Amino acid sequence: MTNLIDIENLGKRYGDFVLTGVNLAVEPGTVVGFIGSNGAGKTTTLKAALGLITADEGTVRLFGQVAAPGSAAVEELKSRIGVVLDTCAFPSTCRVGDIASIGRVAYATWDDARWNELTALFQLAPKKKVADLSRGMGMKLSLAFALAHHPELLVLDEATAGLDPIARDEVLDILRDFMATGERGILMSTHITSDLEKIADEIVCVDNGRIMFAAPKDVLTDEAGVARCRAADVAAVLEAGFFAPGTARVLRHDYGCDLLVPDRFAFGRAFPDIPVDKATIEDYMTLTLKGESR
Amino acid sequence: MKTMIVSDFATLRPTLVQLVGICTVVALFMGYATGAVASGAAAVAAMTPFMLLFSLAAIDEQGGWERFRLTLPVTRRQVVFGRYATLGIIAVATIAFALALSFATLAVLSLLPAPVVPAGLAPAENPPAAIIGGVVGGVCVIMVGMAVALPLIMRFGMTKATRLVPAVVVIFLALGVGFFGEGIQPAGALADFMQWLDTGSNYLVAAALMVAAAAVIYGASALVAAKLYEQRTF
Repeated sequence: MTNLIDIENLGKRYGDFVLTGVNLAVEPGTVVGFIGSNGAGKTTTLKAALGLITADEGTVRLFGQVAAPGSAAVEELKSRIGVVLDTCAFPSTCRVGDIASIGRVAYATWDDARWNELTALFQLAPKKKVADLSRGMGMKLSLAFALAHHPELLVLDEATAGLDPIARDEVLDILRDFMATGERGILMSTHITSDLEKIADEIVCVDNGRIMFAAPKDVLTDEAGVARCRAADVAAVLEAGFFAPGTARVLRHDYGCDLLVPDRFAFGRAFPDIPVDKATIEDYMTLTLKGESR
Repeated sequence: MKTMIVSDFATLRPTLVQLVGICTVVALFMGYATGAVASGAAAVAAMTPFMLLFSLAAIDEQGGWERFRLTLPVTRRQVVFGRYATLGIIAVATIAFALALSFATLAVLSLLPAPVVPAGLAPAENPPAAIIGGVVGGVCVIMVGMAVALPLIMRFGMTKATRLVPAVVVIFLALGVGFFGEGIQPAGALADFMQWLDTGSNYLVAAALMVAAAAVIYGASALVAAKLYEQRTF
């Protein structure tokens, strides 16, 4: 089956910042979480995927077709994508009802009934001005706009930022409904990794312009673990050859050391005296990016 | 392009309503102060498209609208040509509005007793040809101004362009002053031109020539802006 989005060897240079060798794919029926620290290259990657910037190297394929910025084909492909950026981007002078008029003319597949359903659900009155919306309500407006034309792929850049936990759960429920057919996909960049634990299938982490890891979410949150060690335990684990040299990630703190273990069950059998917890995505990312390599 | 026009007018809708009131007041004040209906109408005609151009450009930069708009199924060329079309429609609507306002004002003035009518505002002193010439001329001058400003705004964004546009205008003025200073005597040329305008229906001929020239310049500017906008990164 054709991937909804395929990014291969993407590279882009901005002054001192270099994005290089980025590979990322969203298969139908998959939610891909895209994580990394601020300035790591997430937004640059998404901009290149959406044709907002021209990559220096690499290719972006949307729905199996090469998407060169400015080409006529890209415009057709963009009509199959719903986008929510990190702020509510609609003109502040517009009313909620005006946004629908833009969607109606922009998308052949625009569905007024779906728009009305979503705006009612999000309590967005048609006469409400965009300028008067809170950040959370603005993000809901963006999400309603992205969903009302029945896209096949959603690209979300910090879409749940600024939403309270209840509103975030509502949004995640909507995203689950969106994924129900099994043919659609989501590429979701976020710092709220707990949202990804609830919805993502794959996690891709970028740091300093490079992909640091890409793995199924279950591998990170079910198989991987964090061993809560004393300094002596770390030395013993490393001496036992449980990790290949240089592959262990250790983060020291005041009361001991955290050691990232890729298979917590195997680790538990090998070192039954060392407590090991399930890893969260945040643990995995923090230990991978900040952990000392041993 | 249609998406761009619809989004621009959706953006401007509240401003347009306010602007009708502002323009009416400005036209009446200017007409009264200068003693000529045409000057009030020309002021309205000149200020409206330029004001709305900068309103649109400012809103483009708010909240990342300009960047988000490119995620919609529109090409960059469509964005540029759509913006030019929006402002072209506004220019035509401004001509219609300024003319309607002027002739409505004259109609009201014609109903008043002669001693009450301010000096210079009597219908007989404000021939339609002068009003049409003033309005169309005002819009054409400002369309040339927009033709200079728009490519810079499209390429660099409103914030940077507000520094560049005045610099470009000053350079053109300096070149113009330099050229005329050594060649044609401005006072003589202007006097001859004014005399020509007042002959027959030359106001209308001048207006038609200005429309043609402004349309060519505006169209060429759109092509340049489209080329420049392709290079813009967001």
